[in-house]
Amino acid sequence: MEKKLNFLICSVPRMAMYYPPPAPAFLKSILLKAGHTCKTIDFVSDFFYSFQKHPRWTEIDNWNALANYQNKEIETLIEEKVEDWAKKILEYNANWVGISIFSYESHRIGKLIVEKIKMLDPTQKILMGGTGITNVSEPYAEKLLEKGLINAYITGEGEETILEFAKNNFDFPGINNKNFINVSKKVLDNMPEADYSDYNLKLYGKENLGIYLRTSNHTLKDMTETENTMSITGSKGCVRKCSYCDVPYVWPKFIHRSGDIVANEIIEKSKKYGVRRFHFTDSLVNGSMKEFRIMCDILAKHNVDNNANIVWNGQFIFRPIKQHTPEDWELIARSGASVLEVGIESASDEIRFQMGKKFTNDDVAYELEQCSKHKITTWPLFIIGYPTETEKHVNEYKKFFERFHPYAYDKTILNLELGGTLRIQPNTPDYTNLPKMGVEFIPMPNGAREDMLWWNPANPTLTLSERIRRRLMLGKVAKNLGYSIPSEEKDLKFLWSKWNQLKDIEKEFLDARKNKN
Amino acid sequence: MQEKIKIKLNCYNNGKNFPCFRILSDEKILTEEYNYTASHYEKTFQLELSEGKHTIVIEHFNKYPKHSLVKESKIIKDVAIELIELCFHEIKCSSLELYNCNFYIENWPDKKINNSVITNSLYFGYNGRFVYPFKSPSIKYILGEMKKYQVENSELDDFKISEDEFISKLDHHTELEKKYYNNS
Repeated sequence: MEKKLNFLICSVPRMAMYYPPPAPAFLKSILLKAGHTCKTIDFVSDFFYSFQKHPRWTEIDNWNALANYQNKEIETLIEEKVEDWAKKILEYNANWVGISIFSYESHRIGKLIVEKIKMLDPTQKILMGGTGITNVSEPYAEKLLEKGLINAYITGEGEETILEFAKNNFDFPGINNKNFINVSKKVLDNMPEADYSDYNLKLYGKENLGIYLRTSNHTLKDMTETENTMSITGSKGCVRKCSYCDVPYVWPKFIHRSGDIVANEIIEKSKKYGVRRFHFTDSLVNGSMKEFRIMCDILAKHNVDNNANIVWNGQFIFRPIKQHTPEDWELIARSGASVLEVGIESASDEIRFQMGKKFTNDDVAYELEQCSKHKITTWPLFIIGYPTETEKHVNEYKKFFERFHPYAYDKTILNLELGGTLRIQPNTPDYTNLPKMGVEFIPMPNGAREDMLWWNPANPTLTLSERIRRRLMLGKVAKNLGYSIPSEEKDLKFLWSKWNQLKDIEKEFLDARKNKN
Repeated sequence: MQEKIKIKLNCYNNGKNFPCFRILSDEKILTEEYNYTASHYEKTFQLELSEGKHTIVIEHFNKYPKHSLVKESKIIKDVAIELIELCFHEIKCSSLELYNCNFYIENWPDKKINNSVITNSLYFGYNGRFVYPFKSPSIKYILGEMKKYQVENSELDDFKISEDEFISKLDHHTELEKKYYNNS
């Protein structure tokens, strides 16, 4: 039977509902521009709206992230949903079905989708791609390909690779291997605008987060309105090389678009789609201060001249005092900065510097003061349980939360993200450097590596259990001081599951070490 | 129901004698090879099967014990076949599942061995029949078997834990760790 469509690209859970998944929309526009036919399907929003009001939503949502969570009722619900998706996919009669895997949290459902598709039509060709297959310890896509459940996979950024793939050039780097090449600035600057025509953009936005609704302060009116959000990309890569982060592996060089191009794209999109809230997909929006200032200047002028009220969210780095001048902060505010996600990562200056972060708690105080002054809100991210972390550092966390808790009340700190303790991921400086310092990876029974399972003989009491204990205890301290931690329930379930899965493996390892000594 | 079955074998010979084998589906011969000289065999069969239970059989025959060349109690050359891969519609059967299938030794001169059953080996050095039972539609069956043989560590079926309860468990656990490991 002749295929009607060259490509059908699907986004799959688990992804946040802040903004529509950009990868399928980008790939679609690239393929269309090159003369191929392509459609996208957004299963992220379908999953969310199908189950969001289910009494067991937390478990349904967590099922995606937890390989060892088994529950017949939850699985039946998800399997039925995924089978419907598989039927829908096959109706398109596409030559290639692309499954976009955003992170390891999409692994379980991604595998289920390809199984269901193959059950219904074993001849359907399936392609997988995304960061969730590029930079993970587990050879996820490799195994699926080996088993015959998928027909190909693409690693790295797919902008150029997808076009080579469409030409059947399967020898191109990044196709069925991890030897991908990075996209050049030229390609980035000339990328066609993402094609969201198959998406329902109204399904995305802050109202879905359920967290902004807690904000009652009238000065944050912008954030309590219901509205839709679109993504925007200003840069790839990062100017820092933080020890725990794999961004420099995927993007060895920081590449950014010109500030005027980014600002004008935001303004154009705002006019075209009637959307005024944007979310940057960048690892940081202020990597190039020169271009960032240009972008903010254009947006600020547009907002003032046209009463446009464009607002944006994105990842942002705090810098040493005065690198962001008070004038910068004023401009950032007028450009529409709304929620800045900031990787503070540790409450201890000592550990933060070990991580490669170049700012102190006093710098944090200055930046938060400026945010508060200009009614910009932040969402700080932390990693608890760094290999060198001791009780002294845990006390620094407590002091940090006490010091800055007034900002939790005025919502300069909108939320905290305390995470699920340190994962030592491949292709990060930690992965290379920590073993040199003596940190050991504890192998899983099948010989595989698990990012959370490591032990530092120089800090022997910092076991997996201790790291999780610190994480939960500090979460309680923060909540008691008035901070909001929206992912606390999710983190609790994740950590409970992981602890049950891993604690005995760690015990066996520590027993063997004790006996050896 | 249309089923596409691919079989990959490694074939061993002693330089003089070559393996003979046949592949059957529900006792119907699909192919037969006498004195197969190549070291690899790969063939795909398109079968029309009814919904329900079926078998694929790989039969090794015409071998004699003298075909195994032995030196210092070790077989140095042999006439045999080895199942490398069994795929349905390009989807591989779980190797754990294949290792759990039976090989029935038949027509072997040593009566102690003849008519016995071997599992945990996909190297067929005796005469006999390796039987892979399956159900059509095959993909559903194979994926079900994959899941059956997929071993997860400490499966968790209960999510109901409060923060305080978990912290208290961790307090207890870390106290024990400190006592036990720090005394070493």
